[in-house]
Amino acid sequence: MVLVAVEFDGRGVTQTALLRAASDIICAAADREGNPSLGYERYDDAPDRVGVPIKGFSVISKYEIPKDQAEKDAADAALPVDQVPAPVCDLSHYKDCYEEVAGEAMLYEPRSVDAVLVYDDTMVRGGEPWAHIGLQAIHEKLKDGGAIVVNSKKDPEFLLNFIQPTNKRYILATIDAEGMDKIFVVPLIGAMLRVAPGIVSYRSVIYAIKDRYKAEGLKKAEVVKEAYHKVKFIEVPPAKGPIQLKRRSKRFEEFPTWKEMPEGIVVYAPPVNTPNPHYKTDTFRTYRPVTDPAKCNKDGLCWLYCPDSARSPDPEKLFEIYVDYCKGCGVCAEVCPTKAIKMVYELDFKEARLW
Amino acid sequence: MVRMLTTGTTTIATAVKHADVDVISAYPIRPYTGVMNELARMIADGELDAEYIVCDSEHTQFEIAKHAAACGARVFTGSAGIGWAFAHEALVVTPSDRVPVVAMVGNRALDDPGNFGVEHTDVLVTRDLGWMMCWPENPQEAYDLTLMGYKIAENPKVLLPYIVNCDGNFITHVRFPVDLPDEELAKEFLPSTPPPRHNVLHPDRPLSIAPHVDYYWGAEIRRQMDQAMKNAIEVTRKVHEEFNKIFGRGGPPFVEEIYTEGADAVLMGVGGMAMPARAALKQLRREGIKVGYVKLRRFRPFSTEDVVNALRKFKVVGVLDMDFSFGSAHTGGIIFQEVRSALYDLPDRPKVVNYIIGLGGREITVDVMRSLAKEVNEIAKTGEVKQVVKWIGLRE
Ligand code: SF4
Repeated sequence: MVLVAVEFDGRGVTQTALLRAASDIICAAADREGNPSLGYERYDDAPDRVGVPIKGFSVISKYEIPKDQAEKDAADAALPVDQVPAPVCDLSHYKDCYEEVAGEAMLYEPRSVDAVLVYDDTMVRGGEPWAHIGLQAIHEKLKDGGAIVVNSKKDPEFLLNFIQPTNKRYILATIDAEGMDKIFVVPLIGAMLRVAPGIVSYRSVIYAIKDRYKAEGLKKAEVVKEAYHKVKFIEVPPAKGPIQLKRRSKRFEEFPTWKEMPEGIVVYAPPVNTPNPHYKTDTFRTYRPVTDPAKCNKDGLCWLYCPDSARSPDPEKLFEIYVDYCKGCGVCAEVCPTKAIKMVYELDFKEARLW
Repeated sequence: MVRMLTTGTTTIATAVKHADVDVISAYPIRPYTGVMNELARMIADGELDAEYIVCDSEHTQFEIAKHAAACGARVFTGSAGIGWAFAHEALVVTPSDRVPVVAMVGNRALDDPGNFGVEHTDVLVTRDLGWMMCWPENPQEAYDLTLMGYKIAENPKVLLPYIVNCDGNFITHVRFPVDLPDEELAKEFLPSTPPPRHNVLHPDRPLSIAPHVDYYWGAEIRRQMDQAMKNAIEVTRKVHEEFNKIFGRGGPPFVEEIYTEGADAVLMGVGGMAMPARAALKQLRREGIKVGYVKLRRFRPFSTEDVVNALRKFKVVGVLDMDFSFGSAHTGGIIFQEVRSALYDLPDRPKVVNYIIGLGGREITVDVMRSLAKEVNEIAKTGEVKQVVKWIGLRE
């Protein structure tokens, strides 16, 4: 028996429902082949915070992964979608597989994943959902040889600049999923089928999608097929030499012991007027506010309205942003009476890289 | 039968729908909220016809449930963690009024601010009030135990409120494959109208429930509740029998033995931790190590008979508590105290040790279960207990 898993990485509020949708599609596809699965979103995420990195998962147990799955999928993907044969539901190992996958139910994240689907390409920099967790690299849970599939107009080579080096080998793939379908997880899953075969079969996904989207089912299945063929990908070799990272996630053992923790649930604050050194919210950001000095009249509304106190009070510095804390919500740009603030795509900045 | 990939909150809501309840009182708190959301959806979509009352707090919520039940309505309500704690005054008077309220408790830590991870202490502080309580292992069982709940609670020999516990996140929020029965089959098991009882408020027969009580009455009222709880054991057995006959599944009423064949030592616990235990024990069996797991399905009433009969054949029992009683005997978990006491009269009793596990919602892995199984097995071999109560997965 083997456990396989997929991770979905999105942003709070706007993409919460899409975590669930992707997980449901993958689990429904697994179910069609007689493979039991678990689907869930990370419990301690607070997805009501704008832009916060959030995660969802599908975990599947199956008896084995057919060696020729990639070839079978390729053959199916060559057919018109309405002629793809139905998956076979094989329940002969169901009970054993169920027991195995249910054994993984008391976790918040799977122990490892075979593919990561990234909903917003600025998230390849990693995500820091809570102070104590630290910065989780996008490949944190990825198995060696797994695949990262990003919803992006960019090429994989470009995105690679922003991803922390790792000892793992993996496939980095991009697809302009949002340009293909409003429910962009559909093309993302299509792309995943190509670069991470064996998690669920192409045909089971086609049938799960047709069933889920009813009248629009065939149209959505076409999108899966198109994405399967269109996806761009590169193989990323393991990094050479030792890896030095400025920021990384914290391991469980690194947290204080019960004897070291101050009693009474106490957290000491940083000195007044100094930023919190522990918690950075820069990974919430997709767009960065940039002030045009020619237009700025120094009225300070941006500083006043910023919901996160992420701007300096100094008019001479045009109320510059604290780059570690700005969440990219765009409130400052919205309230600026002279329209001096533009929201600029984060990956246009070289220093957007967090390692 | 409907096959679904869904959570425990949805399966419980489905059982409530199949029970055709009349009144639902609701107030949101994670991880219970999913049930009230799903029930609201069912009413909005015309799948269920019930009064849905959104309250201003949990206290009101449980008062309303109690009063509606006193009027003869079939009711559903629920809460979690501190919400449950806030309802406490209402919870206290519900069993003594002998009304069959059914509630879901999404177990949640009490309440290091914002920690919504599972811990069973929230419901166990209600242990001694006269509420029946059970723990499903997974969403499938959550459906079963909820539907059975109405039948047990409404039995005129019982008439006590009933709690279905659900491990926060792991059962309330994780989607599992489940097979839910058709409504007709559920109705065959549980008719829409509850059996008649004496204590229903109705204009045709005026009566007063819970007037002023003093020391002339108190002890007898407690003894009545004691009898009802005792009766609930036999009623629960019968209800399980009937359920199993109609649905072809449902399991034993109090204690389920998992991989116990040929084992000298067992782990024991309630709720979802049976899942990693099953996976771990099966692996160990393949490796030639035989350790079992005894799943306690119901904690109130606690069937001493079933527990003793299940455990007497083992040398060691390791009780897993996802709860804690500060300063208690041996300073251990609540379920441990009870299991250990139940075995006391056996001339040749098993050694009982206690593992405090998963507090505050800490993850429980298959590997942890493997190591605990090996540990109790080792105690069975050597007969030596080094530590009666042990904290697992703690940073120290
Ligand atoms: S985008 Fe502007 S308002 Fe929003 S957090 Fe950044 S600086 Fe503050």
